[in-house]
Amino acid sequence: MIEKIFVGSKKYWFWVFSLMALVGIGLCFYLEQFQYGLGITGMSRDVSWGLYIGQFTFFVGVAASAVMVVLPYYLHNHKAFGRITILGEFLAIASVVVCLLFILVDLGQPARFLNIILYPSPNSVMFWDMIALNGYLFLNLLIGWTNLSAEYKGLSHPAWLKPFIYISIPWAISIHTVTAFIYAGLPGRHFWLTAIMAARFLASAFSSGPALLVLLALIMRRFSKFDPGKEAIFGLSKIITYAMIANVFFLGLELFTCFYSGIPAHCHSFEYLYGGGRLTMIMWLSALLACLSLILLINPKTRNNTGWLTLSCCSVFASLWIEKGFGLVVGGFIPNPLGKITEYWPSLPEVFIALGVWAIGLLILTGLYKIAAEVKSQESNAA
Amino acid sequence: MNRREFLKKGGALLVGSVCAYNSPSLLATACELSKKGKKSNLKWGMVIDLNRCLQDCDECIKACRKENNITLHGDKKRDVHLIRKVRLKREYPVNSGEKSVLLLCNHCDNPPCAQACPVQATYKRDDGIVIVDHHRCIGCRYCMISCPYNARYFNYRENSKWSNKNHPKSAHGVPESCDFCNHLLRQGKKLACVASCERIGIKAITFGNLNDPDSEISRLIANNTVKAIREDLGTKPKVYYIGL
Repeated sequence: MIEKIFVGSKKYWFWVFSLMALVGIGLCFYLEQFQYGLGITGMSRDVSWGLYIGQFTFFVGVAASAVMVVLPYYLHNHKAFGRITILGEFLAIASVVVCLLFILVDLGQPARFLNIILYPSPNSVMFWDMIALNGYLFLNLLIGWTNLSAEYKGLSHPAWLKPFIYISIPWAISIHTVTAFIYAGLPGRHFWLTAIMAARFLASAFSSGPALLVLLALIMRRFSKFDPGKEAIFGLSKIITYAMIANVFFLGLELFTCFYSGIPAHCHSFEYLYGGGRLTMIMWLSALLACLSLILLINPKTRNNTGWLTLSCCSVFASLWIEKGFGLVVGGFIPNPLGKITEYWPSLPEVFIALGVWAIGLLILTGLYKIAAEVKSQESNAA
Repeated sequence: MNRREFLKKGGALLVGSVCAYNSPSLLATACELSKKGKKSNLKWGMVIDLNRCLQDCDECIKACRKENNITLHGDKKRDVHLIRKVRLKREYPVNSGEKSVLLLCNHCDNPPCAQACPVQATYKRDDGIVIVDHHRCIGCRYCMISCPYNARYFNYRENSKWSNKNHPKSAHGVPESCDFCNHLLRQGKKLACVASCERIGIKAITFGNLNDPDSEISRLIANNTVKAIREDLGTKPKVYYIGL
């Protein structure tokens, strides 16, 4: 099957080489960071995690969201998701790789990253996150690849795969829960120290991930012979709607607890994020996009129209990309435990390194989707 | 053996050997975690008398930087300070105004940083000192984030100055916090900050063994009202303040 990524149209190669160029630029900046230290990023003593870890957090959610197609298809035998499931699984693979790379570029001593396996530390949530993420990567590679090669040969998936599929469902929930625990278990970081963190993470994951999947499915329909099916896309849009409602509701719960109790430490980060700091503009943009997407998604007329659905998926994705991929992580650091405000904004090298990591993710995604599209269209031709 | 078989068997062997290699250390960690606080007759701590500490003096800060080879790059957001002075607003209107307070690693008895470390590079020694192994640390900065005192710093760039050749200087990419001048302590010498404060005749910083009821530090704690910062978090800090 792998040979299918080496044949393609001019457009395909143009796309692949543009991504490779981005990877190359990112790599150059990364070498600079490797040599000089993380001082070339915008991070500081007070804001010690920035764009990299924000993006890591966001893409863990995208990876986990594969469960939103896997669960209906395998547990409820929802046939409409039959063709889109492989896209979900492959999106999960690319996202987990992006997550791991974002962790790697964030490390001050990346050459020692294997220490996390050499000195296992069950007391650290980060250790468990490593296990959860790598396990999830393994599961999706196994399931996605085995399924597709079975289809390639015109067979249905082998029976031994079933247990792995069933395990992958709670595993997906676990990766994002454990990622939330990285934040939610720290004394003195009030913005994150909240029991609803994991639930918020899951809700935002199950809206942003499927939103991306819908956009990808629409792109696939346009640029390849592979059509995941209208029913699957509009089915997903309902999932996005409910998850987005839950997400906004959870944020509301958070706001109520903070501002009705009026405990200063609980309000500070929200006041900083929405009330006049460097991030205020984009945080309000995120809030506006969230409202817009809800209006468009809740109304069945706009939800069932491909054009409007594209717009609402874009706004869901952008809104949560800002809120979770940036605001949530950075906001937790500002103000610092002593009440001082240290602003953060990613530096140029930091942005290029992040672009490079995304490009690697897109390259993997392109390759996997190319294989899936060819195999699937071959199959439908044969039928 | 064909390629497929080779990959399968090779993969299985790799996973198996990683698991086998790790099981003893995982077991050891589990045993370590289940043990409840080893008894040691040493428990280092510090008392800072803010009534004695001079508001505008920074002798201890300078001495610390020199002893521990910490470079100031003139970058306020990132410069490392193992001990620093901050101006805190007083809580009550009666005592309005600000007070400068010396801050350093609290060497918590229940350190969140050691709990957070994914490679056990940060750990608490039996004598109570919380220390980071600069050679094992991967530089993820989770310890900094988990510290509610903001006591940890990160070497965002190389320390250029190497004033004290008897002590190594850190590379970039690892965190930094006070280790109670562990290298001096081992030689029975005084901590850099304590020595400098004594040298100018102020003696605001007292260092000693909290487990010894006859030590100067224990007497200070017994005879004064002492406070630690944010004890409500359950971290059990071992740096105490008089006059906070």
